[in-house]
Amino acid sequence: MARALMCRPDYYGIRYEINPWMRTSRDADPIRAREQWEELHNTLTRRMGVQVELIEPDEAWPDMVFTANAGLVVGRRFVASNFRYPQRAGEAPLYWKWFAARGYTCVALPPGRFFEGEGDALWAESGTGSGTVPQFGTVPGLSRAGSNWGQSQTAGLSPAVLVAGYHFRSDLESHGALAEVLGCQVVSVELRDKRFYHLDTCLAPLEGRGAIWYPPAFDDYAQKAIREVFADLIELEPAEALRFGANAVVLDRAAVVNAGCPRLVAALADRGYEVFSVDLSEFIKAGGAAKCLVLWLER
Amino acid sequence: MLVETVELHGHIIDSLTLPKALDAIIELGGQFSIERLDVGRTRADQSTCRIRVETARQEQMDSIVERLRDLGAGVADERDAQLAASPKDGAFPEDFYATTNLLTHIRLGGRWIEVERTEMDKAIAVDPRAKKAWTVPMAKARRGQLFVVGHGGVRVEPQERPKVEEGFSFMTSAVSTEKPKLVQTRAVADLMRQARRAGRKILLVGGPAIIHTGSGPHLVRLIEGGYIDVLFAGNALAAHDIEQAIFGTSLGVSLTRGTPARHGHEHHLRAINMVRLAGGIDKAIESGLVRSGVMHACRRKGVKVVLAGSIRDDGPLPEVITDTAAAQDAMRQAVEGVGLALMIGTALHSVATGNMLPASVTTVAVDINPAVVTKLLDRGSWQTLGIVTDTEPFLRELAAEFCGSKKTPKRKG
Repeated sequence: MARALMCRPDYYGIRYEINPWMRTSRDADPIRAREQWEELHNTLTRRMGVQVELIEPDEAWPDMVFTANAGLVVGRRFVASNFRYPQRAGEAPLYWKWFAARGYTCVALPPGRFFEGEGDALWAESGTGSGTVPQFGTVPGLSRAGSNWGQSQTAGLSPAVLVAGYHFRSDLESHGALAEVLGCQVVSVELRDKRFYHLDTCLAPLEGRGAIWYPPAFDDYAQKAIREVFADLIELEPAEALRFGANAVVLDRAAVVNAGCPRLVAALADRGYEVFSVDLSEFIKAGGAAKCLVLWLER
Repeated sequence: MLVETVELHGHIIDSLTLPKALDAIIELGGQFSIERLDVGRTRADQSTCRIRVETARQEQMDSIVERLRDLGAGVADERDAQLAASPKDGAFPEDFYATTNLLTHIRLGGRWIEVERTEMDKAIAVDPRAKKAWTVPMAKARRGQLFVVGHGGVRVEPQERPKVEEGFSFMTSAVSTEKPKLVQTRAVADLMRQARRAGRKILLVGGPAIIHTGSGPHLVRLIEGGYIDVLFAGNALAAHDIEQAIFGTSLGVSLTRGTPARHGHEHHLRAINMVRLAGGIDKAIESGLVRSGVMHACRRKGVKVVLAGSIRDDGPLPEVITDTAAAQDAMRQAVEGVGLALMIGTALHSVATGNMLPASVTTVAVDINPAVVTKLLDRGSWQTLGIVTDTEPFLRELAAEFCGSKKTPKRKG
């Protein structure tokens, strides 16, 4: 059974501005936020069969509601985030405590390297054909002779690729550390539109090497790299990208997306997905939607 | 030119971080070469790439390094060169860094600076405030002067094999008398033309055999054609050249008849004496005492001449520098801007010159004795080419390459 971690929006509000969405002058409505969060919670637990665990909210850390940024869970290991902004740094020990108390092996990345958890790191299925091998026209002298590129992983390793974003929040150096810790392939992609400051705001992997994405949020190299990782890409139009269509919670053939993304809903339905539209407009005010509110513990 | 080596590590291939870094270098006005690329063997393995970045200006380098740091690159060899003050005049601090003849950079205050006056077997003096570094011979070291010690923060640029046409690619092979001389001579002529095109000076280091074998006039033609900028020689070449100009003999032997002249063995002594009486070679030329020959041509064409003395010299001629350290200094100054050195018929002067030249200067060693050519080739540079031949046919052919094959004008006497 799939399990996820959420945090009630008891203290959620716009208390500071650390991304272009946040305006302290435009605070979230606590009652509406609560209703929207409950609807997401209900959709996950009752419609999609996700077992949701909750972490106690803390008055000092209003953004704790966005549990996706707590870290990254791999099996029984929890790789803790190093938040870039002090406004969120205090969340880290609370998450650490929660995971440690539940028997997770908590892993800290080297200090000074920023990493914001599942917000900037999403698993994708690894391709096994030549389609995943990028072209190297610009790299002189590169030879792959004798290497195992393009083949599936050796025994014991996850066959998945971790797509990791960097620039606004996580930095590229953290990806190297992440790859060391997890022993997996990390495809690093640079974000270039500050409105899409986390990877999960502009990319959502789907089943079977599919993904929802918004290409202008990435630089050219990242776009190319993503096209190599994913075989079936649903490209968001700008309006739906700005309604955080890519910030979708996907489980098997079901997905929760923010309300107001009819084209995305149709594209997913075409692919056989059952789609739940949930109005999360109060969270958009802080630069987050469905996926930001959920951290996967198990899938 | 500024050089920095950076290392990118991670999943730089599939993330396209590597091509992105390389593109960034070009976009920001730099150039790169990949020194090493270790590609991970499995998908989970990370790759490492060592990239050498070159830029013309510091701002370009700064912006490139900043950008590459964003991409997770680390700067390799991130250590400044260590400096120590010389405790005594005429000596380096202990553990001084001994130079090679290769282009060298040292890291100072986080930046790589080029060491001026590349020369082997010296130490690197540093002025940290002016951010300058240059080579200094041992005897010139001054108490309190700062020198590089140890090997940290020093980078030596490997010399690339010259990319040249087939004409002399085979010449870098072992020294042999059995090679087509004409082809070799033409290749040398090409090198001279290349040096000219590159705006570099041509240096000739010559022994007295040039005069004894009667090739002086060929050399004169090259000088008059403007193909020689600097001449290094000893007392003997100048003395016998002047002997020939005055008496028509070299070591007493008539160069036109090949027979010993009466009291000919005294000719060079008398010639030296006449020049000393005149007050020097320049004066002897001005007064009309010396009207032909190599020294005369050098004077006429403004060729820089350095005559370095040795222990067996007769006279010597007044221009001969008898203090070897002073002679080294004079030669050192004169090699500035030299791009090609022709070393003909002299072992000692050639070795001395070879020691002073950066490895980037092409040197051509010509001697009848294969052992001498081998010795010169062993100076350890790809740029040294050896030809085993008599100097006369070599210089004759070389002069013909530039000045046509017209007969060298008869010498008087």
